[in-house]
Amino acid sequence: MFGYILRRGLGAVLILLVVSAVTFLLFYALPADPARLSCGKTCTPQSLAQIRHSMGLDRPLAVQYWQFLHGVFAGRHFDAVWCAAPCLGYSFVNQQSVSSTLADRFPATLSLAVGASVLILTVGVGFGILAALRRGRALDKQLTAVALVGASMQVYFLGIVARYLLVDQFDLLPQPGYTGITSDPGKWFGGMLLPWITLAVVSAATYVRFTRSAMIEAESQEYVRTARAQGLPPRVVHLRYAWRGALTLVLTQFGLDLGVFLGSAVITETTFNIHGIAQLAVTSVTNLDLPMITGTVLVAATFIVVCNTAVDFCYALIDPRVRL
Amino acid sequence: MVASVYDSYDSNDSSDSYDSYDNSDSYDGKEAAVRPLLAVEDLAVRFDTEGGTVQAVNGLSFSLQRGRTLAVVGESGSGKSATGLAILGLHDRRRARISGRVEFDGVDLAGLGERGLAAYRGSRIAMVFQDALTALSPYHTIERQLTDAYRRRTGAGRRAARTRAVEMLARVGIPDPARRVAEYPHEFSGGMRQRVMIAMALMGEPDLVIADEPTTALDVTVQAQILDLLAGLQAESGLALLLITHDLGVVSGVAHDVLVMYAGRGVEQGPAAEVLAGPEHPYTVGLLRSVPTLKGDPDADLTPIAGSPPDLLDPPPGCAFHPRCDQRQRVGGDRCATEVPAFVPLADSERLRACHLASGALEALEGSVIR
Repeated sequence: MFGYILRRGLGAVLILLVVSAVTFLLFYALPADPARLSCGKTCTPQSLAQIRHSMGLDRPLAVQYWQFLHGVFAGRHFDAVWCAAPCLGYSFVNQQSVSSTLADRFPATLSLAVGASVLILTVGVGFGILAALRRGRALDKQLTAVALVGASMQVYFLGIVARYLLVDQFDLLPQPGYTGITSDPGKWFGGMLLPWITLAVVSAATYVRFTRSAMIEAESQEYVRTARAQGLPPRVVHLRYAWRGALTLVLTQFGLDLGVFLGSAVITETTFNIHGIAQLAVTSVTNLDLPMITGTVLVAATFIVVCNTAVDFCYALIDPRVRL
Repeated sequence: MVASVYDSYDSNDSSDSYDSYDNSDSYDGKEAAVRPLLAVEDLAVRFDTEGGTVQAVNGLSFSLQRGRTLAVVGESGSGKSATGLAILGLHDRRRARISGRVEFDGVDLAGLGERGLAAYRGSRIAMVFQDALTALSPYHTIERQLTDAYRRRTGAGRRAARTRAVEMLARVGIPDPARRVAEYPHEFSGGMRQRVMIAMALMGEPDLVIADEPTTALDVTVQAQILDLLAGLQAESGLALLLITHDLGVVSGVAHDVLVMYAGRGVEQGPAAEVLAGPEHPYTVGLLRSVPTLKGDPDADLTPIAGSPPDLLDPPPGCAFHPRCDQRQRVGGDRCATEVPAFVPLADSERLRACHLASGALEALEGSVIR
């Protein structure tokens, strides 16, 4: 177990190193000159050289990367500005360290992801199981039909329509937006409600269909028949025995989808005006704020690596045959 | 003499274990002889598929007394497993249609719903499935799987149920049961896993155990151990055993009676020793010929039954076996292809048979093969 954690931890570090190196290469080794971009229109050769020096761009690429890594683990100076330990760089556009900007923005994205995941899993999986157990009957057909409609929706469409109807017209939900959970939990919850529901409707639909087929598959397993042959009531047979088999499939799907959720967060955050990481990434790209882009990429990669590790741990919890 | 042919299956002393059967024969005395524990009448199992209706079991009747073992034998697709599942109503109710009577201890199980059947499943009738690796949940400990239904049924506490599970594991010969009860199925060897299945069946002290190919997934020495275990448990508790198998070696080792099935129907039935020594149906003869013997000529070729099992979506008319039967020329006219032979008693015996061929015609012909 501890060996596994160690292995996974080292593996994660290695993945992040590779991701950072690739991002670094892509953005710093390309013809576009970050210093030139930061310098602005009235750029004198002196100030360009000055910026180039303070960004470290006058050194060889390997040295720059080494300095970047050094900044991540031990902090570094940008001229007079000290960038503390997990220093992902300094945004000359924002005049702020990348890490502190990311720290500001991350909670909004996390709130969105966690809340939506909880809703998607409970609603999607719940209705999926229900549809599987009532397969072929009216309820199953209705659920499958609703799921199909939901799955063909897009966040930006459903979100804007729902916002117009539920918030602006009939005042059923509060205005979407992010408030720190520590500053005002009620407002935090209210502001996230519409984004969560929208994401849940769009993605839970997929989970209804997926859970339904995973559950039907699991129901045909022989050990489920054994459970029936023992005289266990249907509820126990379905929810304790069959569902356990379907759970691994659903979890696998969820692990894969985490990355997709993060990708679609760009649209979600823009639709609901939530200032999260994804929106930050978009503005950084628009501003060609290269250190910030590197930072957001690394945070996203870390998020995915951590989530996948968590999913792998869950496998071991669900299925004793999986040895960590 | 039959037993000697199948020596390899009688790991210990076959005459000894036969004695124990004789004891159990008298276990229930005359009353049981009047009313069998299980009486299946005109059982039919149909599956609706896209290609049409599969008639898996077609008008099958048999009965089983307490303390006795009935082996149901046939190739895959003969309907033997479908019969076992139908007794406890374990088929998927969306797909299978079951008709006929399954009278168990005076109650028609075929007329009961899931709830009614739950009172019999695991408690009075238990199943042992073929492949314990897939028939046991990989996600739950042995303790959980053995005690779940037991606790629900008896209201026993966790500790008491665990104690019982450990007892049952010990009874089926699993070493160190107190430790192993906490393990998962994949941590057991194939033979031990099948013992766990049997222990699971014993949790409710059943009157009838339906064992569906309990030894097929195991190697030969372990097969013998499992069969000995089942026979021993039967001798102890007087339970009735419905043993579903394709293996005639298993039949000769442990069964009192045998029912040979083909294409969903019974074709031959009777005391195991008599049927194996003097088969009265060409299909039984074919099955026996395709089993290797230790005493026979080692260079002699095995004779498989020609052709393949019938398509149950479109079974042959008349006797379902007739396209593969090497005796049909001996039957006058075209009766085999047009007329379904009745499953009727042979004169002066307990045996039944469904064949147009004159009784006794096969014995003289095939006696040498069997001996």
